[in-house]
Amino acid sequence: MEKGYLAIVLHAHLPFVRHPEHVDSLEENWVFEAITDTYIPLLSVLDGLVEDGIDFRLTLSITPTLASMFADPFLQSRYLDRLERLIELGKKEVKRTRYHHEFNILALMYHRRLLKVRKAFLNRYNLNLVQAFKRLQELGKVEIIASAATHGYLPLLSVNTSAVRAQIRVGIKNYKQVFGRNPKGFWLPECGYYPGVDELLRQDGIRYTILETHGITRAGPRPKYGVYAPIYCPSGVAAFGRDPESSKQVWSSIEGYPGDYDYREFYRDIAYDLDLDYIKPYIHRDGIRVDTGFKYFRVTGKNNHKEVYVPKRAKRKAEIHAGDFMFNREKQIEYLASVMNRKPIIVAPYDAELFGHWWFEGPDWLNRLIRKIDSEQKTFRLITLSEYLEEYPISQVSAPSTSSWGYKGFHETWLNGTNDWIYRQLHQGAQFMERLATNHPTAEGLTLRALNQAARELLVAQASDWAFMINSGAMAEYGTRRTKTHLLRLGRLMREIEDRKIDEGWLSMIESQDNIFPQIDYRSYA
Amino acid sequence: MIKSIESKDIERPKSYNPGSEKQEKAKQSDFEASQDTQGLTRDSIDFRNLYEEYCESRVVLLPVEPYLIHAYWDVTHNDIEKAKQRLGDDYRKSQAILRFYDVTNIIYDGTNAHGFFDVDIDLQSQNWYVDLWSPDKSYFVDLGFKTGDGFFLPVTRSSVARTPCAWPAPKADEHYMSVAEDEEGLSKIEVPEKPLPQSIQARYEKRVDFDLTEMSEKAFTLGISSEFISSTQGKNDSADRL
Repeated sequence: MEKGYLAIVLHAHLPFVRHPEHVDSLEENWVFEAITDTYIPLLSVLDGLVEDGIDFRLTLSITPTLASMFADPFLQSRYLDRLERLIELGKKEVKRTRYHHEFNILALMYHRRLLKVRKAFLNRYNLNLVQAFKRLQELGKVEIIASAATHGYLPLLSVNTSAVRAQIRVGIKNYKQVFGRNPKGFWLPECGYYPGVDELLRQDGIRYTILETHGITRAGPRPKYGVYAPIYCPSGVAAFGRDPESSKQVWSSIEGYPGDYDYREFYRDIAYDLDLDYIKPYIHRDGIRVDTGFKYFRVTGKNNHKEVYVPKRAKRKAEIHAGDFMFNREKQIEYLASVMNRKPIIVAPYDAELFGHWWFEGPDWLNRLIRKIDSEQKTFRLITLSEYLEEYPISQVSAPSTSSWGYKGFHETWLNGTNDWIYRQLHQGAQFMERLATNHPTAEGLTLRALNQAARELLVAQASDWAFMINSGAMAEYGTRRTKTHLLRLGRLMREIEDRKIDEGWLSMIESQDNIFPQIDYRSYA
Repeated sequence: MIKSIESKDIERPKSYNPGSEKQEKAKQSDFEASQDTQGLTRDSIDFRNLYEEYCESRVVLLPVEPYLIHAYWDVTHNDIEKAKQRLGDDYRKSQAILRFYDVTNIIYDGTNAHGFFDVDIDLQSQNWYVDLWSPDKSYFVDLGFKTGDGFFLPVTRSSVARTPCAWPAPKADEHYMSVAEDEEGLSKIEVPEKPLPQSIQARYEKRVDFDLTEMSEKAFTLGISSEFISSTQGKNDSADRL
């Protein structure tokens, strides 16, 4: 019998970046990259495990914004266009590199990959990746958990309970519509926890959530088992804590696997290295260079000198690293089991996009790891968090501590001199939404549409992604624009509702652009 | 801008407003600005223009981390006029302040705060970052005007905010609960702890300093994930390119 458990949790999220108003959207390209680099490769790995009869468990959070983009026919069709162009680029690359063997084998590799991705997207997944993940859940291998409607950073929205409640409620409702069942777990955006949010989760039927390490280690009273068993918040919702060891081995930019010198270098894409004339049809039509995914170099070292990527070497490293990770978990669990009066659980959450997109070899590593766990050791087993709670319904009661998995562990990333200005607007917006909901206990026709759209606009304005972008600087203008656009739409809707003069043309236009949560109910704010 | 502060019996670090520097840089970058009326920040959306009757003076506390708290406020024209009337000549010489009340672990009845301290603010800037010297505390603030002779006229009050913990809690008695789902939601039953098997009990007795929470806390590196990776970080930013 196993001595303990490992729970791998992948958090899949992208902000709502549907831009039908633009012929060519930089931001939509994030979705396309993520599908090609991460989600289809991950699905291939998981489907492969199922086909080979390997038992495994994985917990996956798919946010409502990502799920809705996966299922959007408009984005699906744009994705296929993008794939076609990249496949065409692949053919050109194979030709361009035909006298340079080391680059040529890579061009061939990418071209083949893209063909496989297209085939999988069209034939196996019928354009809708959500269904593919749903099937894995129905097979009992994957547990999908819910998350906040638009990934709002809840601690900073908590000034208005209605705002947090709506983020949770709309997110859970969306989950039920998409996956056809009640979610047991909830991924707090950025693991942003504050005392009291668990009570709101409990009210909507959630059994557990996941916190950053110090949310558990600083819980009061002191947890007996650190992060190696869940604690119960006084509300009854269980809180699991991230294990720092397994986290460092993968996440750390200094010691983590992805920085290995044989792995593919993310920042050398032909979009930046080649002539504009050659690459122009494959980047943004305004000449803005965007990644094509054709990356020919490996990390090589800490400085700018990069050598050609050698797939065989990378695969060998992935094999070594998978073995290393497994070995470390075995030792860890053996030790923990010897000092705990129950089987320890190691909770290892990661951004899904790490696998494949940022760390090209990530899905391969995960595949090898899961197969090794199944066949090369008996110390531990993979588990979902629900299964662990079923085995251990009794846990210590302790109140977790405010925390996040953001830089420095609290709220600084989303609240500092670059982005603090958004909160008075978001809080005011929530207050006005409450007033609207209270003043209109029932509504119909145009007023109902306007009220629901107001709720949508507030939710989209609350996405933590915008504050993150403004802070990181990279997409600051975009993040600012999104925040303001949606708040201004909310403001205008509010006035038109109160003045009883709703501009139907404008309403229809924003309804079709910001078309998330078709079945939203503005009364979530009452 | 570093402002000096007063306190009641407590030595405090200086508070400051570093946000204003970064805010200046943000203002200079290229996006639409709304009108700069009544001291509003250049880039704020003026909901007041949309809904005059819904807006009143308010001050909101947002903890940033264990030793730093952010405050923002709006003070209506009416409330400023009232203060001017009330203070008369003293208004011009008065200082706008945030008076922080420490109400950690108590129910405030108007008199029983643990203490208070004052932070001088620039009313026009509409927000401030305040350094704290102790984590895991509950505060509310009164925003108001303090005259030269120490009289304080409050204008608006925030609700209570709690700052996060900076280290593990002390060891205390453990309580256990069994949780199950029923028709009404979660049912919770308090249960006694299961006794340790002999082998583990012996190990506990051997290693008096054994503590899994301490071990996890020591191994923990604050927030490495967000720093390293994000789904939208670094995209299209040529500065990140090698």
